[in-house]
Amino acid sequence: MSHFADIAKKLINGKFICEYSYPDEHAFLLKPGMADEMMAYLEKMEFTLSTPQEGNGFYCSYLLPKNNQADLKKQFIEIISSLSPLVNFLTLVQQSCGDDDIIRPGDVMRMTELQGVIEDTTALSTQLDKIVSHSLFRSTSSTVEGKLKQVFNRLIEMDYLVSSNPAHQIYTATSKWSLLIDQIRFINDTEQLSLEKLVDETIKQDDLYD
Amino acid sequence: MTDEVRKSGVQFLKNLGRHAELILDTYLEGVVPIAYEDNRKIIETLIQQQVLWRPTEEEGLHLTQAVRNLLEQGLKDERNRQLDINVGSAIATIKTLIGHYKEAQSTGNYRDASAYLRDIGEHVFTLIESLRRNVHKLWTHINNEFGRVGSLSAKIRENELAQEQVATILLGLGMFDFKDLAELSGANPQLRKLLVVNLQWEIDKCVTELSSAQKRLFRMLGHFKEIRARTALVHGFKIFSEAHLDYQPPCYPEQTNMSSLFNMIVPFEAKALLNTTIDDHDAVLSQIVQSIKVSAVEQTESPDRQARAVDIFEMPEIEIEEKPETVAVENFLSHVIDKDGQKISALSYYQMIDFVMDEEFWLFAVFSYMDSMNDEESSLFNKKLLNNTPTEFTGNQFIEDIEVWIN
Repeated sequence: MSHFADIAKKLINGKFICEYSYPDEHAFLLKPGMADEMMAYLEKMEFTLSTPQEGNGFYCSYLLPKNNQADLKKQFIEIISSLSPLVNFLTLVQQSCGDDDIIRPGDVMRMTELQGVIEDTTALSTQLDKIVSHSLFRSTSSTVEGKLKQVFNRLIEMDYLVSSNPAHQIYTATSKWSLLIDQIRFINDTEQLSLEKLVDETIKQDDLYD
Repeated sequence: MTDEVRKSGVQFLKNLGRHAELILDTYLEGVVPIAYEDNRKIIETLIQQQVLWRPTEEEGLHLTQAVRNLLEQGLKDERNRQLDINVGSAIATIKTLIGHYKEAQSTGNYRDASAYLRDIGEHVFTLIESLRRNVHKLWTHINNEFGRVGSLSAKIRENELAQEQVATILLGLGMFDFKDLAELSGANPQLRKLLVVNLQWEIDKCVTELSSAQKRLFRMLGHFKEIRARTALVHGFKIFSEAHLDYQPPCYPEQTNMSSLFNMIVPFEAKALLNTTIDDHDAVLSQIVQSIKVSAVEQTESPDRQARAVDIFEMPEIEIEEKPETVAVENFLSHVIDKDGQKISALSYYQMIDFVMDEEFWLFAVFSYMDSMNDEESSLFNKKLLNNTPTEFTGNQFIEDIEVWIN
C-alpha cells in the first residue's frame, strides 16, 4: 500500500495525525502540496481535511455536514460527554506533577512517577477513582496502577497519547489535546460561560472559608 | 587625615570580621537573633558604626542596606531580586561633579580638581558596576523563568515589575547626552576617557542588552499569560461541569456553518466482530475455536501470587467450643456405659440432669448426635425410637422417647 493511501485510510478511520501520534505520516502531509492533494482526494468521498486552531495536526471531517447530521450528532454527544473525564485527567496530571501548565503536545509522561504520587495522595487517588468511574475510562481494577493503565490505554486508543517507551511506561502527549482545548474554548466563547472567571471566584470563596 | 581614615577603616573592617557570626546570622534571619541579645556592648558599637539599625522601637535590629548589599554581592545571593533603577540621580551627580571639577581647574585649584576627578571616576565606575549587575540579575531571572517565586501569578507580577524597572533604567540611560558629555569633557583627556570612552561604551552595551531582555520579558509574559488562560479554561470547565452535571451545549451539528472543531467523522471501518447468532456458522466457529492454541499464559505479577514464608509455630490454636447439648448427650452415653449397657430412656436421664432446654430439644439432640456417629461408634450402641401411636390417621408419628443400650 502506498504511503498516501495508508494515510488516507488512517484519516478515514478517524485517526488524528500529528507529529507525535504519527510522525512519518505527519511529515508526509507537511510536504509541499501534499495536504492539498489529500484534501482533494478526501473531497471526492465528501470528506475534508481539518486542523485544530492551536498547534498542529490533521483529522478527517465531513465536507457536507448537513448531509451527515445523524453521524455528527452521534459524534457530538460522544465529544461532549468525554470532555469532563478528559479535563479531570488533565488536572490530575497537572496536580500530580505540580506544574503551572496543563499537558501540552509533546509533553512526556512517566506512568510510574504519576502512579507513585497518586498512591501517596488521597485527594489525587479519589480524583482518579472519579475518572475511572466514567464510561470513557471504566475500570474495575482496585489498584492505582490498574486504573492508570486502563486510562492510558484508552487515551492511546483515542490518539491523545502515544507509547514512546513501552518498557519504561513512558508516554508522549499528542496534539489532540490542543483540539480538546479548542473545543472547550469554543463552547466557552459561544455559550458565554466565562469559565476563566469561575476559577478566581472559587479561589475567593475558598479564601472566605479559610 | 589619610592616616586616620585608614586606621579607622581598618578598625571598622576588623570589627566586622570579629562579629562576622552575628552579622551573618542577622543577614540570614532578618533581625539580630535572640541568642546575641545579651551582647549589649557589641550591639551598641555595631549600631554606632551603622552596621545595625532599628527601624522602629518595636522592631528588632536589622542590618543596614550597605552591609546587606555587600553580603548579597559576596554570597551571590539571588534574594536581592530587585534592580537598582536610580540611574537618573547617578547621572545628575556625575554632571554636578564635572561642574565642580571644571570650576576648580579653571581657577587653578588643582588639588580640589584632582579630588573631584577621582570622585567622578568613582561615580562612573559605580554606575557601570550597577548597570552590569542589573543586566546580570535580569538575565538570571529570565533564564530561570522567575523560578524563585512559586505560583504562576507571582511570576507574572515579578515579570511585570521587571519590565517596569527595565523601562525606567532605559529611560534613565536615555538622559545621557553624549554630545553634552563630550562638550563637558572638552579637551581634557582624562575626563574624555572616563565619560566618553568608558561610560559611553558601557552604556551602549547595557542598552542593547536591556532592550533584548525587555523583548524576552515581554514574550515570557505572553507565555505566562497564555498558560494562565489555558489552565484557567480547563480548571473553569472542571468546576463548571461539577456544578452542572448534565450540561449539554446546543447541538452544533444542527447549526448552519458548524465549527470544524466538532466535525469529526464516524470511523469508516467498524471493528470486525463475529456474529454468533447465525446457527449455520456454529460448526465452523467451533472448529476455529478448537484450533486456537494458547502458547503461554502470561501471568501478571501480583502480590498474592508471590511466595510467602509461613511460620507454622505461630499458628493460632483453634478452639472448638462444644455446645452444651453435645456435652449433655455425651454424658448420657457415658452414663449408659457406666450402667453396664443397660437400656436407659433418654427422658428418664433428662429428669436426672439439670438441662436448660425443653424435652423436645433434648430428644432431638440425642437423636441427631447418634445419627451422626461413625460406624464404629454406632455399632456399639443400640437405640429404639419410642413413637406415639397416632390416634388420628394423619400419618404423622412423634418420637416420644429414645431408649439406648449396649449390645
